[in-house]
Order: sequence, then C-alpha cells, then structure tokens
Amino acid sequence: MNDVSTAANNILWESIINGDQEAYRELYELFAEMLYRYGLRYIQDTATIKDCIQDLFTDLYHYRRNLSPKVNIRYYLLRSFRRKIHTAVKKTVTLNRAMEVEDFFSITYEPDKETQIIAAEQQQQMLRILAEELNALPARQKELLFLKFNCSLSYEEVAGIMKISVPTCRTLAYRAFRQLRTNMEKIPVLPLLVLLMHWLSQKNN
Amino acid sequence: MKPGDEQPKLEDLLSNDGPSSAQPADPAQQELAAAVQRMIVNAGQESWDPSDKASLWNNIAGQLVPQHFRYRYLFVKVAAAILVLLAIGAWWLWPRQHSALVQFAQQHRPAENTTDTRLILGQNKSVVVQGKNSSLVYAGSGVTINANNTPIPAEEYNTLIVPYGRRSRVQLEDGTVVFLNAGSRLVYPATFKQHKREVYLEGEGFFDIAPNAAAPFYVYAYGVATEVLGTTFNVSAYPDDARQSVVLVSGSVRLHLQHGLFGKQTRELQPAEMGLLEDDALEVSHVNVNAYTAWKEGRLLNLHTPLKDILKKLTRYYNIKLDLDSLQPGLETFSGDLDLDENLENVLDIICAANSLRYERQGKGFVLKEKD
Repeated sequence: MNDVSTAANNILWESIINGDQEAYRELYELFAEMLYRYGLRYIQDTATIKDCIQDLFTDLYHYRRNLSPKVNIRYYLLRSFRRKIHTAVKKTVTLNRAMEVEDFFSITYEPDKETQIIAAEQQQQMLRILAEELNALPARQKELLFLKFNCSLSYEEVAGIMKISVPTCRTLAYRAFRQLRTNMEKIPVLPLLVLLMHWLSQKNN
Repeated sequence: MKPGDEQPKLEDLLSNDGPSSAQPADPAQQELAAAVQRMIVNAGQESWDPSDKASLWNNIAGQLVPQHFRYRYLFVKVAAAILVLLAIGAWWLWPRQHSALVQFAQQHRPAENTTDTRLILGQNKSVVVQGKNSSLVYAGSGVTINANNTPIPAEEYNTLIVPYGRRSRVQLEDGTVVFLNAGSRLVYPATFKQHKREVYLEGEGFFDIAPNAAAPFYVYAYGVATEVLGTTFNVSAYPDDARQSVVLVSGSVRLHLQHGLFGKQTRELQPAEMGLLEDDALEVSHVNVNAYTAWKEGRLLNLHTPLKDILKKLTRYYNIKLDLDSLQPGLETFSGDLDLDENLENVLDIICAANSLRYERQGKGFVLKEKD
C-alpha cells in the first residue's frame, strides 16, 4: 500500500477541500482497497461495503467546505468509514444485549505459505499454534492489531478510531501478546515473543 | 475495557520472565518472529476485483459534481424545520381547548339580569328557584328544588344563576355540596364523567367536595382552575373583582394558572392557605379561613378589610347599591363580625359607628359619608 508522506498528504488534502476531481480519484486509488478490506472485517456483503465507500467519498465532496485543513487522511478516512460500517451492521443484524458492533470484527490468521515451504516441521507446528492463538484473541484486540499493523496507524490514531483512550489502547495491545505468551508456556516461544515485543514497541507512534 | 485498567510497561512484561534483554536468541527464533509478523500483516488482505473497484469509482465520480439538488434538499430541510417550529408555536399559541363544559359555559352567558335565582336546564329551559336561600339536590337524573317532593328531569348541562341578594346551596350528583354566594353562576353536568368531575364558576362558591380519588374534581373559574383532591375550600372569582382567591379549609387543592400565552403555573395549597391572584400574579399566604367562608352561614367576618371591599360584598349580598363618599377612600378598614341576617340598615349602623361615618339614602341605594 502506498504511503503518503506528510507533505504529499497535505497537498492532496488541500485539493480535496478545493473539490479537485483528480484529487478524489487519487484518494480513491490510494485508500479504497484498505477501506474495502476493513469493511470485510465487519460484514461479508460487499455491496454494503461499496455503498459505504461511495457514501464516504460523496459526503467528503459535498461537505468539503467543512473539512479541517490539517488531517491525517488515512486516519480520517478510517474513522469516518468505521462509523458508516457500524451503522450498516446495526441495520442488518439484530444485536442481542451482550453483543456490540465491535464484536463483529473478524479476521483469520494463517501461517504464510512461503514460510511453510522452507520452515522446519517443528517451526511449522509452532506457527500453526501461534495462528490459532491469534485467532482466539477477542475481536477488539484483533481490530487493534489490524489498524496498527495492516493500516499502519499510531496508537494515538488507533485509539481515536476505536474510541478508547491511548493507555487503554496500549494495554490492549500488550495484553494480546501476553495472552499469547501465557497460552504457550509449554513451547519455548519466549524469545520469540521478546522479538515481537521489540517489533511492537518500535512500531509505536 | 476501562482506562483505569492496569497498564503494564513493556520492560515490566519482559523482566517478569527470565531473559531481560531483547537480544535475539537464535536465527531460527528470529525467523519465526518474522513469520509471525508476516502472519499478522498479511491477514485480511483479500483482493478486490479491479473491474469492480473501477466501476465503483465511476459511480462515485458521477456524484462528484456541484449539484444544486443538494441545496434543494437543504431547502426542504429548512422548510421542514420551519414547519416544525410553526407547529410547535401554534400548539403553544392556540387558545387552549377547554373541556366541553367550559366551552358551553362561555358560549351560553345569561342574557338578561335576573332578580330571582334561576336554574337553566340545557340551553333554554329556565326554572325560577324561589327563596333567598334556596337549595337544590341532584340525585339520579333529576333535581329536587327546595325539598319539593317532585324532582324535575335534569339536562346534560345545568346552570345555576344566583343574583345579587340571593344565595343557594346545591348538592351535586356525586354528593359534593356547593354554597353559591350572591352574584354567581355555576355550570355543572347532571351526572359527572367517570374519570373527571368538572364545574365552571363565576362569582363565589364554597365547595365541600365528595372524595373520589378516581375522579379528580376541577373548578374552572375566572383566571384560575382548581384541581381538587377531596376537600373543602372557597373560590372567589367575580369577573368584576380585581382579585380572585382560593382559600383552602381542609384537604388539598392544586391551582392551575395561565399567564398570558406562555406562562403556566401550578401551585398546591395547604389548609388555611389562600392563593390570591392579582394582576396575573399568584400570592400564597396564611389566612383565617373563617373570614372567607363565614358568608355561607350568613355572616361577614372582617379583619382590617378595606371598607370598599366590604361594601362591594354587601351590595352583592343585599342587592342594594352602596357607595363610599369619603376623603380617603380605600384607607378605611373595618374589623368585626357582621350578621347578614340583620337588615342592611342595622349592618350599616355597625360599620358607620366603628368608622365615624354616617349613611344616607341615595336613590335606591345608600352612600356612606364622613360625619360632619
């Protein structure tokens, strides 16, 4: 996924506010797929997801005069899109009392095939177990991992999108890895987790 | 998840178990870590059919033109908002639709002045009620006048008109007793509705309401509606008086006032309290209730009452015009117990003696003057 540097981000956004058609096209090229995949996390019906994307872009155009001049586009789009998707989910499913829209977030982790071909059997086994453990994480922790690592957002931005505080957001992330660790005490994965933690902290902000 | 939850630091997590350094253990582990990273990053990367994606863009592009229908839409929104505001405004400003009984009372005002107490059944049928202190008793669908044995059939709405010089006692169908003072009009149904008992009063009346929690009793009077929760009280609401009052003897009542178009006020009274309505303002004070209810026993109790107010009451009671010709009208007051069964001259004697006044006949009435 192409990342827009801050300067490019600002220029693009300026053109968006000015209603430049080409800018909207660029915006779509850059972010539509990310939004589409994010939508799939909540709802399998692609027509609904496309409706939400279309709504998002036409709203953006029609209310462009009210847009604030300095935003992180990726963050802004994901946040608005999440709101639309949540509304759509609420319309299609009847939520029982214990369930919130957030709980509909779903993603499946699989050991990647490339690694499977070259990895030793013991490692393959370990990867499968790790995938299972990742899949067992609560929906909110999965959404956090998705926004942070797949959509490349900072903790602050993830917190803003998920409407939680930044400390809560960090806690949620560490808890995800800690859960992996406690569930996998039988196999020697601790050094592995140290590595992951290292990665996690580097990706902060 | 609450923000107050534990927030373990990365170092804490790491130092809890064995190796505290983040040094990679061995290349195999490093490789595995990278694999997990890829596993996380690669998840949820479904591909989107490029032609599908392109056709969605075409849909979007078609809408990204300055469109005036947006403004038309805005106009509809604004129009709807204005309509809603107008509707709310109209709802507030529209004259309150009173109950059918109040509407009837306001539409059928007695045309001529009468010197006899009259009972008007329905709209037209008028019956003269004899006697200075008459009594009516409703039972079933008929009304008995002055304990005559033959009840006459009542209509849906009944109006009792008590002229100056007369008083009346009426017992309504539910057992409620109303004493009507001189110069009063009471409109009431022959049989009350099941859940609401309503009467309309002009003038002065003393009410002894038969308790019935399931059917609250409302007295609609000039400027004030009294909601009754089973009790005895006096309402004085003569249209030609500057002040209206409700005096509660026992039980409890709730006053409903309407100030102009918007002001609505409710106030509950405690026993021995008087709600006094003057110039649209309600004042509640403690009073000697006897002073306000003695009239039904044919007495007038006064405590520093302005003389002109007393004369007004006497004018109504005796139906004889009384004037005060004094240097400081309104300043003279009178305190004392007047027995109104006496003839008027005797009553005037008492008042004049206490105030260094004299009275003389003038036409059909009397005028009170300062002593020379």
